[in-house]
Amino acid sequence: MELFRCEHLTKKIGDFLLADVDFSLEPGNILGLIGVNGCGKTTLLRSILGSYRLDQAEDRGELMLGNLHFQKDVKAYKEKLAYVLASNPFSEFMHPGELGERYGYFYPGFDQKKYKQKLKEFEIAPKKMITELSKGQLLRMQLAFALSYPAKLYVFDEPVGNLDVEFRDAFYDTMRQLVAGEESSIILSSHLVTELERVADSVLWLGKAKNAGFERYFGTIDDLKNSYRLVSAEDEDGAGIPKKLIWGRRIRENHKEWLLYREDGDFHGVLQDGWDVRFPDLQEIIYFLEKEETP
Amino acid sequence: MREYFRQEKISFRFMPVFYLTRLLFVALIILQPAVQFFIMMVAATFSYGFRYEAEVEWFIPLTDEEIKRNKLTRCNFIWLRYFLTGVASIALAFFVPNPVVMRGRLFDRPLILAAFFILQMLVIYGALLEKATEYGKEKKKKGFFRLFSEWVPTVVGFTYGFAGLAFRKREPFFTGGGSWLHAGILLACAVICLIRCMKIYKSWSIKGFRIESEKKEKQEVRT
Repeated sequence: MELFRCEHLTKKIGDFLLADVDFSLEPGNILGLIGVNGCGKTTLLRSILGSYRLDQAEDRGELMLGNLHFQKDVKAYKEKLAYVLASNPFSEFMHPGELGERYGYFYPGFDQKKYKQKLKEFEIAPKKMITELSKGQLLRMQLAFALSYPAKLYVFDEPVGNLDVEFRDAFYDTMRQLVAGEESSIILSSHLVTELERVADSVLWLGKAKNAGFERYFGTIDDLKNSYRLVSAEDEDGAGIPKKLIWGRRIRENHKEWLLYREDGDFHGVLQDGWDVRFPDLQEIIYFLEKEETP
Repeated sequence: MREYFRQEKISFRFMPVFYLTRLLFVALIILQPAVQFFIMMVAATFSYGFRYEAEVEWFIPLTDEEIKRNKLTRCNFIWLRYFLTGVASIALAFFVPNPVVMRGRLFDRPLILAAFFILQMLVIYGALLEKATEYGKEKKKKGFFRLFSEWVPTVVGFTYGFAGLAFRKREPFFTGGGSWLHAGILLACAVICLIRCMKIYKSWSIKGFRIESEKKEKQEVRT
C-alpha cells in the first residue's frame, strides 16, 4: 500500500495557482521535490502540513497518509507528520527546551529525553532564545524535534542549504536511517540537485508559468534521465539534429550543447557518429528546461 | 541618536500597532494611575494576541476547533491575569489594617504594601538586567532606549496594575467611592477584550496561517 498519496491538488494563494499536482510515495522512499523559485514547492508542502487550507473556490484535491484523510482524520493525520522547514515555524519567543515541552505534548510517543539528547548532540543550548540561534542552528533544532517522535512522513523544505558540510552528510545519513525500516518516507525539497540526486528514489518536478505552478514530471530519476540525451557538437553539426527533439540548448566557448528528449528514450537513428552524446545529470536537465522555452 | 530615530521611523512604518503599544506603555510612567491601568490592559491584550502567533500551531495535531480555542484562551488569559492581580491587591489592602498583619507604616503606606512594591521593583530590575545582557551582546546602539521602550513598560504596567488598585482600596470591590472607577475600567477592558477575541475568532477560524507565507509567495512570483 502507498504510504502517501496526493491526488489532483490545486491550491490558490493570492495571484498564484498551483494546479493539479498528483503523486504518491511508497514506504521507505525519498521523494525529491525540485523546481525554480516561485513554482509552488512551499505551497505544496504547506498544504500537506496543514497551514494552507483548501478554502478558496479553486482549491481541490485529496491527501491521504495511509488510510488517513487530511481533513476527515486531521488529528491522526497530523500526528504522523514531522517537518524541518527553511523558515522557522516555531515562535521565536521561547527556548528550544521549552519548545519540546510545549509542542511535543501533542505528538503521541514524543520522547522528551531523546529530544534533549538530540539538542545536546546538535550543540543547541536548550535555554538560549530561539531569536539568538543562527539559521543552521534553527534547522538542527527542528531536526531534533522531528526525530523525537515516530512519524510516517517527514517533510523537509530546503533543510540543507544552511548546514555545514559535515552536518549535511550526517543529515543525509539520518534520512537514510529514517527510511531504512520501510515504515516512513521523506519528501525533500532542495535546490542542491546534485546532492538530492544521490539520495532520492523519485522526483517531483514542478514547473512555473507566469502566476501558475504545475507538475512537470513525477517518477524515478533514472526514467527521467533516460528520456534525455545531451549532445555536444560544433554549431554546424548541430544542424542535423531533428528540431522536434530539441528541448534546450546551451552555447559553450567553441561548441554548442543540445538537450534532446524522447519519451520512450529511444534515440536510434537520431544520433550521429561524431557527436559527443551522454546522459545528462538532473541539474543539467533542469538548467536546460528552465532556461529555455520548450518547443 | 540619529540612527536610533531612523530605526524608530522604520519600526513605526512597518509595525505601527506594536510601536504604538510600546509608546502607550511608556505613557504609563507619566499619566494618572487609572488611565495607565486602562491603557495597559488594552495594549497588553492587543500585543499579546499578536505576539505568539506561529505557523506550527497549524501543524500540531489539533482540530480547527481546538486551534481556535487555544488562540482565544491566550488572549483571554492576559486580561484575566491582570484582573486577578487587581482583585488580589484589593483583598490585600482590605485585610492590611487587620491587627494580625504587620501594621507599621512607611511614608503613610502600610509596610507590607511597600514591601510588595520593592519586590516588584527588584523583579523589574532583574528583567532589565537580563535584557541589558541580551542586547549588550548585539549591536552597540541597542542600549537603553530600546530596552526601555520594549520591556520596562510591560513590567511597570504590571506593577501599577497591582499597586495602583491596592493603594486606594480599603473597602471590598464593587462598592462605593473610587471602586466604581476601577470596576468601570476593568469592565471596559473586558468588553474590548471580548471584541478583540471575536475578531480573532472570525479571522482565524478557517483561513489558516498565511500571513508571512503569502507575502513570501507573492514576492517569489514577482521576482
